Amino acid sequence: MAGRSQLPVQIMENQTRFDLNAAVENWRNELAVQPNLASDDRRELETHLRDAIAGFQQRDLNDEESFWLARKRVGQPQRLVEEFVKANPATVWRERIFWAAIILLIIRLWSGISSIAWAIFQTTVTTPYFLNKYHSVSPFPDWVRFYLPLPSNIDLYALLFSPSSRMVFNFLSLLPVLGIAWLLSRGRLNKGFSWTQFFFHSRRRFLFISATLFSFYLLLLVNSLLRYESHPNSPSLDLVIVVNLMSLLYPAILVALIAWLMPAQNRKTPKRA
Amino acid sequence: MLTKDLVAASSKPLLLSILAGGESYGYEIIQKVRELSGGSIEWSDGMLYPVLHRLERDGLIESEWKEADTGRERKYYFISSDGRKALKTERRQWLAVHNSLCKLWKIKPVSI
Repeated sequence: MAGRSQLPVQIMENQTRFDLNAAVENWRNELAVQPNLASDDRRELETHLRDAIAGFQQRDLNDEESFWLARKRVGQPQRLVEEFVKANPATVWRERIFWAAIILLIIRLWSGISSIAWAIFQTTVTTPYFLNKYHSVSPFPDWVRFYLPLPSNIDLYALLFSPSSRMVFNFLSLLPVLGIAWLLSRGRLNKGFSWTQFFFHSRRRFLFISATLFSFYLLLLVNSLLRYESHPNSPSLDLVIVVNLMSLLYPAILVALIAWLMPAQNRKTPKRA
Repeated sequence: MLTKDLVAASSKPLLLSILAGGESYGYEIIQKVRELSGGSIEWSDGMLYPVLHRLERDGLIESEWKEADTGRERKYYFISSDGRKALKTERRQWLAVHNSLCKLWKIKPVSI
């Protein structure tokens, strides 16, 4: 009998229960709106908030009271950011340029996949045959294919549109990639993308992986250049080599920039005094 | 309660001295200061980090993200060898002020 009479009360309690995780999530979003706060600082403030909440909970305050007291202790986001920026004005710009370089590199890689796929297929299958085959076996509907870095897209644009509208289309097809990169840079997508930390574990690892990709690309390049000589009415081999090497310069600069700006906590930890 | 100026000036020797006793993180540092001063030094939580970051930029302390026993990660700070040198200087200066005041107020001074 006692159990039955308690049941409605329990339900009432559940309905009005304060959701601590949701509250912290809200607070984090409030902080994320502040553009001048580096992600590392944001993370540090959040661990502090959680520590402060735990401290109040140990003093027998409930979740809601603990949260509001801790929030008050940590301070107004606006004021916080002002102080943080005063302490380290360069950090914010360092981080912005770092993310801009990463986004540019992702775009370069993403659109580079098509030329690599191109190079591979060119060496194995003759072009028209491949294109026909590709169109007939493609498992994706057109609107999905639009957003994928597939060789067929390039030919489609080349056939249907002027160079300027081709640029617009290229940009539109990059929108999902841009969106994901932007969310990542704001620290909103950390759950599904923790594997990306593998690449940024240390400077050395990042440079090693990049060098591996570069040499893979160079191998493909050499491979396709060896077959190049057979065409009579096309640009000279020297020119093709120079143009291809120049196209490697841009991602190489981006890689160097990213390695240079990599956040300190991802680098090897310094020796203690 | 300390004045704002004094809080700002004393934060460096306090932080360096706490970290000289072993690595620590923001929340723990604030608790320690509150405990040490019996509540008369009250640091606002959010303002501590800019001070820590400034010391880090000056190379007096270093930081590292580490997993605590609760499983959550925290940013731990520890003192560098430059920090230890800076702490010695700070100590000399603060004790010089302290001892001058002690003499004026006729309280027993502390040996430097």
